[in-house]
Amino acid sequence: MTSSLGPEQVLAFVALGLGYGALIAGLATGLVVTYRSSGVINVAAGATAALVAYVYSELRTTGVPFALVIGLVVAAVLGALQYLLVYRPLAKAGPLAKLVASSGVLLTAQAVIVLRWGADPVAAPAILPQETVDLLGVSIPQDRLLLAGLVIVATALLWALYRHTRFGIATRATADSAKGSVLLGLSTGRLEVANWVIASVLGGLFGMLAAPTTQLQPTTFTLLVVPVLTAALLGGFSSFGVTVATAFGLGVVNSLIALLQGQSWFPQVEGTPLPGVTELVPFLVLAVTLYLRGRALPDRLTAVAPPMPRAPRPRRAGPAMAVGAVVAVAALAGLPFDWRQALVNSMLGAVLCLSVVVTTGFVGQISFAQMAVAGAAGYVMATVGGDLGLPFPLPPLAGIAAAVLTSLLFSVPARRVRGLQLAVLTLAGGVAAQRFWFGNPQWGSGLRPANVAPITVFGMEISPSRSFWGTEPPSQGFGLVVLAALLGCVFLVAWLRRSDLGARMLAVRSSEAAAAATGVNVGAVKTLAFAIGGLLAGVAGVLYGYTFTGVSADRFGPLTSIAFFGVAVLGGVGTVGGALVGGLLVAQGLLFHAVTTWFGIPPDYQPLFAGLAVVLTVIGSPDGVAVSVADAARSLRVRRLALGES
Amino acid sequence: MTDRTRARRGAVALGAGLLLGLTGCSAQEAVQKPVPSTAKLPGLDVAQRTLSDYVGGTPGAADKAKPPVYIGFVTQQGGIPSFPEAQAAAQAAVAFANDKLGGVQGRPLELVPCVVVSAQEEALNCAQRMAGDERINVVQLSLLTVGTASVYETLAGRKAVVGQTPASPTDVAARDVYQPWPGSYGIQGGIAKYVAEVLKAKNVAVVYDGDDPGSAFGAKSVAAAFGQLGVTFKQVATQTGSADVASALVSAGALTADAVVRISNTPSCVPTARAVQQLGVKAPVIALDFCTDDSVRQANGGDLPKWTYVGQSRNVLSPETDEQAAIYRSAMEAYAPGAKVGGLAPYAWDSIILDVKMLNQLGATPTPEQVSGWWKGFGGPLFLGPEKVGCGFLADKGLPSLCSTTVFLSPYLGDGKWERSVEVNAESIGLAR
Repeated sequence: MTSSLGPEQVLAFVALGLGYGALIAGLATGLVVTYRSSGVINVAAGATAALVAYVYSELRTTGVPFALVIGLVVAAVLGALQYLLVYRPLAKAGPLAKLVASSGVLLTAQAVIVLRWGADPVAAPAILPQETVDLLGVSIPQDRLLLAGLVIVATALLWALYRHTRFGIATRATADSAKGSVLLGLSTGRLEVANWVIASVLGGLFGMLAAPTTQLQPTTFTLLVVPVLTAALLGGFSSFGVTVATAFGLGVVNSLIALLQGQSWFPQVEGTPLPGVTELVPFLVLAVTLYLRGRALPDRLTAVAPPMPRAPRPRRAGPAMAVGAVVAVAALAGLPFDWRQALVNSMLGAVLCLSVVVTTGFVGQISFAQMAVAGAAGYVMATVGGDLGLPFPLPPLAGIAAAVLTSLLFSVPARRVRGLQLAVLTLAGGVAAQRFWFGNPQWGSGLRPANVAPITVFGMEISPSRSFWGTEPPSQGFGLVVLAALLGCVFLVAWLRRSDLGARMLAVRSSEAAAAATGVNVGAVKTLAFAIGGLLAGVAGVLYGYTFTGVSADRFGPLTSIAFFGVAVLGGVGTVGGALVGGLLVAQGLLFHAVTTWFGIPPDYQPLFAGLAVVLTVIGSPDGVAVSVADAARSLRVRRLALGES
Repeated sequence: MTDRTRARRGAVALGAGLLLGLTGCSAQEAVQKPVPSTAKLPGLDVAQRTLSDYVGGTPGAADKAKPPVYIGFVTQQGGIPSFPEAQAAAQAAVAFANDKLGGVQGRPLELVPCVVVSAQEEALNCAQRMAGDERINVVQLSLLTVGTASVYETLAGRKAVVGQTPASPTDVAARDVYQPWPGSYGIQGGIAKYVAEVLKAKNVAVVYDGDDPGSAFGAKSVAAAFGQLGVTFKQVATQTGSADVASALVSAGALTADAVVRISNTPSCVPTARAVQQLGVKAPVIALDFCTDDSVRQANGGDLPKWTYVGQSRNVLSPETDEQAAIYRSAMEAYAPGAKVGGLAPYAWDSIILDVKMLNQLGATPTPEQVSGWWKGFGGPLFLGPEKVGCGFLADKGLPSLCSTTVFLSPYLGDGKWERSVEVNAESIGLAR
């Protein structure tokens, strides 16, 4: 068989794509089950399935009998534990908190895999037959076809279960109205735990079945998060049929893109096929579909705005900024190098968190694209300063302008797509930007980090590595630059929250329909919020480029975007204080550095610590640490007042 | 205690137990990976004699009463990707040098390791730590996939930095840092030359992992190299670890090609082996030595696919056909028994041996300029690599850090048997920044 484009070839490639599609479908149906029962978008589904597959692989290679059955039991236990330990305590929390919790579970599961089995690939023993069948002149592996068949059977069973059994009807009733279900005498807890077990067993089963086709590696299934979410989203997080059909569609598209890459007319860059097409095409399909479907999606996803953390007006912002500035300058002057760098990392993280405060906290748009927007700033700054050779301050200004424009691009779908749909769409958009733009040698930096020239003012170089005040790196001078930028951003966001525009943003967040009824131009407010969010992310991207003397595409992957959004939510997305707390929580930020240093957590265990910290923090403070601290302080004041009066 | 509280406590206990069980200390020992046979390895006396000559040291142990010579060692492990074998091999080389080669001018050598898990911040932190450590004059880098730009920038002019193998164009463009091993810069040109001149192939199918920067860079380089050599080729990208390699192979024309080149990391090797077998591809397959990992052997029915593997070093899996590889294996067997001998281990081990050689000549406290000068003047050989190197020989092509473009291609015959490696110097074929 040749790779020319004939109907037979196309059909053969469609068949070849079924295996990949089946894997996506297996994970996506589990996602639908957990969302329908608990309202959780479980981004950890792939990582949990991988964990089960690893356990199965170890059992098989060490000769333990009934490995498949034990694997399924482990999957069931993992599902039940996730619900009981993580999501049940978060039953009354908003979807953001649950999403962040699942990102913590993802990090934890992945860290456990690396600690137990290492990052090297592990052989996955085959369950399904490995022979091939001849179809349209090409050998198709039997396991792919069987996997696809099993997915279809499982989907039919799930459909029947939720459509025709008492358990399924009760689950649907609980999803529609938990209170009503309780009044009817249904045990919502038992229903939810059963659904989590079903989802986990489903994911684990397909993980074990599909692992031999991919070989096991910690991120093999985790990185499928974008196609899996895409399939579940287009299925409205409710329809098993549409979800599975979309998953197979994505698998087929992936295979057909491989076919097209072999054609002489396929665009080439430096002798290789144009990179990023595999990520760009599904994103465009998703964006166009969601845009055209507009509000036609189920209520749970769109009509009811997900509850957001409180966003109180900042009080005494000026004095707080002044005190903060003095403390930060003193810290930059007096701290040893590692703490100084941790402070710089925290300030950088806080600026990026501020952009999430505006787009998500103020106007209610869940955007995972802030990392990509920051990346756009870094890449454009590198090009303007490096390739074009323009002097400071033109490169950072151009970078920030590019970030604003990129953010405005993301605001276009936000006019018609909102809530969790927008979250998935922006995540897919971020990945497409990473691969198609940043990783492209023609209009990104390709595979090398884009070098960033240091800040030079009147011949004086201000960079992290240059000596300042005669001390070793990182330079306090650069720390002061970051501090100044942070203070400027804090001022902007505090002003915004106090302004009329801020009030309009909160009105849109509360209810778009009500805001529109009172004369608020909802579209314009969203666009402005994305522009300001883009500006703040742009400042963060520029500072990031200066800190690491370059930007690289791997910084803006899907897992980084999810992890960073989680940090922002943990800090608190409704307030400036929340962003500052988020800054403390970022990887290698002050809090992370303090805990890992004081408790001597070895590097191998730091990812596990980070995952568990995310889960525990979100359970303890689902509205964000800043809000919890403010609440505690308020309670204390009230108690003191009461004591004084008595 | 209510039922709910009891259930919650039970769940917490079960969760904690599961976590402890999975991450417990038995982790790596539970799944012992098979280590290739070491039955015919030479004794340590042979290793001592050969390597004492090589490093210019005095056979015997270093004097523990003397102050140690410290070398900073920056490595990446604990995240994804992770190269724990690099530090294990480096420590083994240090122990061997201290026991058998007289350390550095009689003083014991000591590593000051700094681990990057997965973040640029960690790489920067390591660089700052090294920059501020007065004991350290030389920083030996292992392969880092993140944060190298800030490492070079921070250490420039403060400490002598010695590279190992380039992971990105940043590594080969670094000022006054030399990379003894060529990485993609030799491998892709080497593959192209081998395919064109040894296999005499006219029509080649190339499949690479498009989402992996190293593989994608390799694809770009191999395209340039084939272009120069007049070989017709078709390239198709797939994704790391994707089950869908068959589509890419067919699309690239693997069924009718004279040779198939697979540029990927380890996770893609098994899916490729399965797809090659299932599609009935007849052409010889050339793959990177990432595919000689034990996981590939296990998943492939206990034996590696019968492909030709290309690596930067001599074939350390075949001590029967290479004397230096046998000596390396002997030293590793003695000082890091059971440790992984492939992956980054040979480069890390040889880097420390080279550091000993350099410090024996320059003394224990060289300046960055002295170290840079030594590398410029170093003509080889690399103990596990080519006879001749010439650091900076491609400076005019914008690759000032590169020392060599020689690689080794080793055809695997099955059942643990290898043909002797073919040494190929890619010179400047297909090199691109």
